[in-house]
Amino acid sequence: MDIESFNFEQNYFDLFELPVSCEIDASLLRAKFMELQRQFHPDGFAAASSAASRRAVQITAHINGAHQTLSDPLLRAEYCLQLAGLSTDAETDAKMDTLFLMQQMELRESLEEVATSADPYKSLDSVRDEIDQLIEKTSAAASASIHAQGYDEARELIRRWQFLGKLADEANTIEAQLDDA
Amino acid sequence: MALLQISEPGQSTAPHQHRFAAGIDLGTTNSLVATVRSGVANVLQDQDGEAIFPSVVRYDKHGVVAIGKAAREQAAEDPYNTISSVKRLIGLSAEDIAESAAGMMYKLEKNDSSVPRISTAAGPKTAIEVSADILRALRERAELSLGGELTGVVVTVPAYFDDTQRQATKDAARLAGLNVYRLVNEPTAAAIAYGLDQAEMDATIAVYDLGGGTFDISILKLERGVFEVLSTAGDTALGGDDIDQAVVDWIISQQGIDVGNDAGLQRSLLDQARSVKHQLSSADSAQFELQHGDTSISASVSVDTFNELLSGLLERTLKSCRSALRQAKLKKNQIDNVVMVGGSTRVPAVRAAVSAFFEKEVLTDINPDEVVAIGASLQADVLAGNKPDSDMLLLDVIPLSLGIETHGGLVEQIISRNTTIPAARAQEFTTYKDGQTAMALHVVQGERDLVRDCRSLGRFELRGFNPVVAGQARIQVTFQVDADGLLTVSALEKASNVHAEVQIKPSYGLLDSEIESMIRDSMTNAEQDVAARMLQEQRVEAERAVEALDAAMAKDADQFLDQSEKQKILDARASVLESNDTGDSEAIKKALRGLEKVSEIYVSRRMNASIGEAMKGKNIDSYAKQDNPS
Repeated sequence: MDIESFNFEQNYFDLFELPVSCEIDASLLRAKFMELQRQFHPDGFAAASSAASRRAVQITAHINGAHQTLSDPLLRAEYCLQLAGLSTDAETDAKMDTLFLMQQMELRESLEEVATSADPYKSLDSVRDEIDQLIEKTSAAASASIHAQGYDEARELIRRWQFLGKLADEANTIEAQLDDA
Repeated sequence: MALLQISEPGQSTAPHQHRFAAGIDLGTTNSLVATVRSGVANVLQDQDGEAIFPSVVRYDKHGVVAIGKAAREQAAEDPYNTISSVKRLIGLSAEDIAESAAGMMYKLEKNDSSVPRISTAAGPKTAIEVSADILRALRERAELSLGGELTGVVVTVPAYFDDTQRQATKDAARLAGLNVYRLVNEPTAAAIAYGLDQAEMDATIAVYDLGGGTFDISILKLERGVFEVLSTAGDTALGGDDIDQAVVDWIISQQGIDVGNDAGLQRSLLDQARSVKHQLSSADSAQFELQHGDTSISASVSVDTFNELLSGLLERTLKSCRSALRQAKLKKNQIDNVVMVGGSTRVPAVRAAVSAFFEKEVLTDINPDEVVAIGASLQADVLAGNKPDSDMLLLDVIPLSLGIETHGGLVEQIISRNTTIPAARAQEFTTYKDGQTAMALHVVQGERDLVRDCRSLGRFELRGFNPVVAGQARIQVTFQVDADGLLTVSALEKASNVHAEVQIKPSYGLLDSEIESMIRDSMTNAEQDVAARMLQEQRVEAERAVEALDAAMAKDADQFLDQSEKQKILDARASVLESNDTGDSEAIKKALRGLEKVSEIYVSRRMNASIGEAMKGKNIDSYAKQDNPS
């Protein structure tokens, strides 16, 4: 594969020469990523023609996007589902398990109380631990479902995972506010 | 290159031509240029051995009258025509500048352009043009030193510069006639300078870069020649200038001084503050002494007072450090090395605060003023293709998120900050009116949710769609950020597979056509410069000729010339001097030729006499022997 024949249509797993799976070998992904960067990064074309360097920018942007998707567990799971022909857009349908929504609300309340608690960092850590554990459980289940081609169930689990991911982001924002206070 | 090329037997002799490349650190206070020669990176010096080039330009009605050190020394006497710290203005709007502390240092022209122009004796100047003048001087220094034209350069920018500031910097380089291989972030360049020393080093490093006007913190992972930036944070309006200003503010309040609109006094106060800052790097107290007009100040500043004045600024930098760590998902104890960059890190209190924050000794081995230019030159050498075997690879990130305006003045993020660049993201849009053939996208940069809290980059107008029923069109808009961190937008109508025309209206940047016309103007100026230089050379030649003639005539005019011959020569001499005052290089040339003609007889008589003198007492044979040593 060279700069002329680079295939933008190829799926991300093929690009990185990895098997299509939710579980990937991070070190293989990284090694292949570096190899592709060395081959296509626009720095290698800085003194080349502007057409070649423009193409190098496009290719590298594609490689970076693919790498970002495959290195993030949630994005990777969504991508697996997408390859199986299913959408994971949050808007498609918002039907959620009531129990799960209750749990979400409780976690959100705990996050809101962090700032006013006696030891904010300690209470933040404990809410975070809870969120992380839930993410771990949910992601393992989603991965197993995808592996077993139980895509409907996988989609449900990924949606929960997306919710939990947002909570984790909020926890980070709260930490930033604590640090800067 | 007349040097002998030695190569291994069987290998061809140097098929690769060495290209002249340079790294330029275009700083707020000072700039530097460095090149790699024989594999070693060096900052280039002027005739006085000075590597640091103050980023100051003074204009008069003819244009640049002083630049660098000379201009800085003249700043207080001619404050409005002497532009310093122009980097603080680059890519900013007139309102941004008016709000900044630097606002009172410049007079801005009132006009409709989105790019503010500083009014100077040489006419209105954009920050881009002033920067170009500085870059031109650095280019000359490099080309003089290398003995040839530069093929390309790496120009460094603060990591936290937004798209507009990056584009403006690149435009300035273009205007200075430079081919920019790459804009490289300053902390990344510093990491290269440090990292290449330790090729075996695999480490996570934090680069704390406090320059004259900007602050950056970047966290990088070094692994077998790869410099991967994990995160970056900073403040493009925080630096040594602010330390100086804090000292000035303190002095003003202590002494009850009214600066009013006296820009000259403001400059003198800042100069003194800078000197006090430098002294306090190695002393416990320093004297603030100033005499300007009616104002006279003599005050002692202790290092404790100084550190107190500094504490607010330092806390702001540490806030950015925490943010960068969070973005990189790292804890302080996972940082192996902390590198200090920028002249302001010479202040002991800065080093102490950073060392305390990261809980480790900070690295200051490489001169903090020079490290960025050195790293940039190493990267320029690689990009020029001079090191084909180099395994160096630089993966940088976009410092601020890119987004588009959606309904209600909200921002929808397209590419989030700290994404590895180059990066691209495609988004599909549709039309909302029947027969709609165009649409506009407002692109902003920043982390906030509301458009008004982010920085407006520009409005992209997409034209030339096929008119269809509302909601039927599928227009794929691709946002692409290149390796310089610069955004381009392209649009494709998916049904017809036709590329839409994209017109950019930068919010605070120059249009491409404006840059083109500036380049044309500067070429006209270049022609004028050539003419001026020719005239100057002609004048010098005339003066030398007259001097030589005078010296000779004082010695032996009466011996070789009769009265009328002597008078002819003296007349010709007078007309040379006369023409020398006209400023017409052709006239000078003509008069000089006239003088040469009438002096011919005198010159040849003197020559014969001196040959006769030299041959006295020697016979022809001895010369023949010398010619034929066999």
